[in-house]
Amino acid sequence: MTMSAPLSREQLGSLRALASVLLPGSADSLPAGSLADLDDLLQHAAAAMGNDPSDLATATAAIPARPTRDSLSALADADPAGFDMVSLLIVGAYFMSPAVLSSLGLPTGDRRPADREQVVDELDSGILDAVFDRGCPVRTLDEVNARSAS
Amino acid sequence: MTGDLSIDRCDVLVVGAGPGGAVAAHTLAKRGFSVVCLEQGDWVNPQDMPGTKPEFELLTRGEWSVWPNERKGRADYPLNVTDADADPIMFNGVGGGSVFYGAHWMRLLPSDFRVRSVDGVCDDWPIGYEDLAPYYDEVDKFIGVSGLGGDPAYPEHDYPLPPHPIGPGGMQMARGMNALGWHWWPGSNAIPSAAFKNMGQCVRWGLCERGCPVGAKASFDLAYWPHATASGAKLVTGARVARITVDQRGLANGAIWVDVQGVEHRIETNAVVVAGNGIGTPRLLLMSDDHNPDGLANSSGLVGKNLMLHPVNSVLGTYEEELAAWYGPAGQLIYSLEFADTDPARGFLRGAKWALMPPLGVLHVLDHLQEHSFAEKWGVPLHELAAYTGRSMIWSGVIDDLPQESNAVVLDHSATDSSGLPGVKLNYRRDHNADRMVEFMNARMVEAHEAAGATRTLTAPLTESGHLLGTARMGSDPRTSVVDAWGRSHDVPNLFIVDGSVMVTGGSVNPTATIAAMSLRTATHVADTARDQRVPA
Repeated sequence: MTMSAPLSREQLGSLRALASVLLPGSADSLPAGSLADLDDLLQHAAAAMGNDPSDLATATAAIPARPTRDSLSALADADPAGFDMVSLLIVGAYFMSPAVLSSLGLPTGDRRPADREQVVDELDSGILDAVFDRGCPVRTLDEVNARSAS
Repeated sequence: MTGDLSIDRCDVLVVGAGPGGAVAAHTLAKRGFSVVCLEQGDWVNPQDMPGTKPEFELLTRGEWSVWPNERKGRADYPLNVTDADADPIMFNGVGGGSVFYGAHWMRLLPSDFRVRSVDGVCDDWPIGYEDLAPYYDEVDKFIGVSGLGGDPAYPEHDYPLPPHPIGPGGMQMARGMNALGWHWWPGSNAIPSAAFKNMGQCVRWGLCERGCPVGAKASFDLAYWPHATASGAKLVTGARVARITVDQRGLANGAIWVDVQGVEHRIETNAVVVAGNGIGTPRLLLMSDDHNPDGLANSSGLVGKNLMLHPVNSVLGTYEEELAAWYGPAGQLIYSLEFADTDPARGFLRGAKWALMPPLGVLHVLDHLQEHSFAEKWGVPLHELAAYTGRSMIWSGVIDDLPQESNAVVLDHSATDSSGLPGVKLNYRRDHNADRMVEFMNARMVEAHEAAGATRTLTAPLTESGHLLGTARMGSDPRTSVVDAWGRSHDVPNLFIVDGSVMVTGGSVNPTATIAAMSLRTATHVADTARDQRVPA
């Protein structure tokens, strides 16, 4: 793994601009640009990805100063590897945000061992009746042995 | 690096500490043999697994990747896939691929052993379902498999632990499958539904395929190795075997191995058990060319050939109902064998087992957009799909790719590992049979999702498994196989192979249960017949 250097102020600015276009938010989702801790998340994501610093520098430098969907689409076509790197970085950072995960209803961190009665209730519901009615979907051992012997 | 580097003699040398090696080492040590296992990788502490970290999905695309070419760890060796339709998952370390497996615990179907007899292609195995069934039972009990007995698709058998709940998603899909009249069954998983031996109850983080951070998965570093070492087996990690050596009579008498400092060692032994799986095992045999430029145990010329990799197709469905899809295990919630056996009307031979799984995280869900255009992926479309992460389920299929000699593992001398040993090149092309199967399975998975009420389905690009099979196949004829029905080399009578490479055909299910059962069977045979075996002078 390559040791990554912290993102520079310029790189953070480019990545924020990229995130604002690619992750603009929707009716149920927060815009990336609204996250107060986005810079910290980007640093965290960059450290986790461990990209070669020069590769990352090249990829972030290629982000247009005022990116638009059109200019980023052109970048994705022109340099797919570099675009994949920086787009994964901003998406990974965004979905590390507790606020974003909470808005999606996704829990974080808690252990959730099963209640042992849950599977009993599921199976007692008769859900498997149709499977038994269906029977064996493949050739049985007896059928296979009969073919092998013939 | 752990273990005693000064050990220079043992009764049985095991190469590789994955499932096959773990079972063999435990079985033979328990029977009183002095056993040494050399493993090129290291132990993984479950607490180091990335799953509890906010950035875990990014870590699993780099340092913790399941792909060696992405991970680039010290224990990994170069894997050239420029001429391959697949980039297989591998892990070199204690527990082997099971550290990252989904623990879907499936037996081969009876017809999987008899493909020549029932379908007229490939070859039959020299053993059948009945031969392996007692060993499946014994391994299941040893590692604490969770599941529900009575699946009409199989000869009767049961599991030591109750099944996991199938959850809201599993129930929803089960209703859909019932409406279609298609087989399904609650998932059988090597994941404890209750505390078992040294493993705790699954806490349902749903991260199984990325390594369980709480050690609640029967990866073989946890489920077998502590018992193997307690029985006296010695495990040396950071020990890469460069070649197996043979004496003048053609018997294996030891191995040359290299430690992490690059120092070469020699160990002598009465018997060698190779457990490097479908890529590592042929690599080692081909490197062991002291007496024959074609490698060891290769008079058939089949070492490395007939590689099978089980391509994996998958279809994600999104639902309006809350499915709580963040609950594990993942692991399989339910499985289906509706399309696992041959039906000539489908236009291909053999089939695929399906597994219904929750997504492994938001990025995993978003991966299903990777082949969409920029406009279809970025912006609102991405947000909209991410919002369904807790309301999505994934069907994935194990595609039974048939063996072909042209699909092969060969040494790649143009790239070397950290010990200076040659890497591996894969020549692997899917055939039309597999391609037709993929197309069929994708279409049926869409139907299943729709029957269960999915509002959207996304078919993912074909991906890879860690199922590395067929490259040292078993058989009765030394001209057409590498090992016999007991896993013993036809050429080297005190050399045994206990991994996926001995499988004659791949079957349509996940292979670890079969690898473990066959290793137990082989190791038991080695112990039972030790008095009659030929050993080096």
